[in-house]
Amino acid sequence: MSSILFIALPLLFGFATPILSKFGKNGVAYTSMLMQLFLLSLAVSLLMTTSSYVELISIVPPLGISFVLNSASLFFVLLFTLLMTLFSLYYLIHRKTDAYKDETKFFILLNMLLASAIGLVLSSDIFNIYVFFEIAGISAYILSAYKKTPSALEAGLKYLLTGAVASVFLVFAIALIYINIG
Amino acid sequence: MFEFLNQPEVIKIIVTLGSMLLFFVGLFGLLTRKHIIKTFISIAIMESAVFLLFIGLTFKIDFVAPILDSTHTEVATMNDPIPHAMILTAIVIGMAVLALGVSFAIEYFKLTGKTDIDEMNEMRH
Repeated sequence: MSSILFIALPLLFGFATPILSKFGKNGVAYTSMLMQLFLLSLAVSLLMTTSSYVELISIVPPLGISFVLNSASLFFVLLFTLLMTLFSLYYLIHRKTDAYKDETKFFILLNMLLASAIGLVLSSDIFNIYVFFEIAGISAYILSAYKKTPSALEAGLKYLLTGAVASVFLVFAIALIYINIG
Repeated sequence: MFEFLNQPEVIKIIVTLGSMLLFFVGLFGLLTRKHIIKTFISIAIMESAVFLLFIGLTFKIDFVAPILDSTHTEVATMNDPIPHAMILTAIVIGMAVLALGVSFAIEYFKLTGKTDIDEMNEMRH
């Protein structure tokens, strides 16, 4: 039971998708849905605890990564896992009519988006927030242009332009914060 | 003749003014050019201006490289390694985003033959 599971499990599942897709045609969609249901139940079971939960992955004592799971970030974790579970359910129901051709890439991107969105709300230093923000951005750009029709590509291009400009200003803000208060 | 340029205050002013100039060159290009590849180039210029500002303002002259080793133990006179790590990551991420954008632009050009931003109104009808 730890908060790192919320990030590690979707990320691991996302990169294991090419191996999982070898075992059967429907396997990836169902196992992805099961994994997201497990994360959702984990988040619901954490609702009863009131104290905030700090997880520190330490390499050498001053260096490390810390994740904070308090009630505010638990709300967003619940929201993301609930939305992604509902989306997987929708995809399972409608995949006969609306299926994407290359499901493997689609589920890699989807689980990367889930992992980085959860990491964005759980991580406690601004450097990790920037990295997770960019991973979430890149997977969302590819997902929005996934169908490769002209309108999908145009939407992806416009989203990418605004996102790239926004990330430039985000780096600028991080630089100002770091120079002033270290 | 140019010894006064070595003072840290002068270097900070030069770095700030130069990177702000570069930033506004990129912003001007982003706001005025209509070709999609040129807007990506402008974003790259803006990004490199911010990287230059961050590195230039946190770098200290006379300090050594931040290497922890048995032979390098003078921790008090080391440069701060966190901006370098941050900017290295940001350069890689920025390059990935730009490559993705150019690949979208190529696919879009193959399908429709358009490169102008003003003509990209597929979603209006």
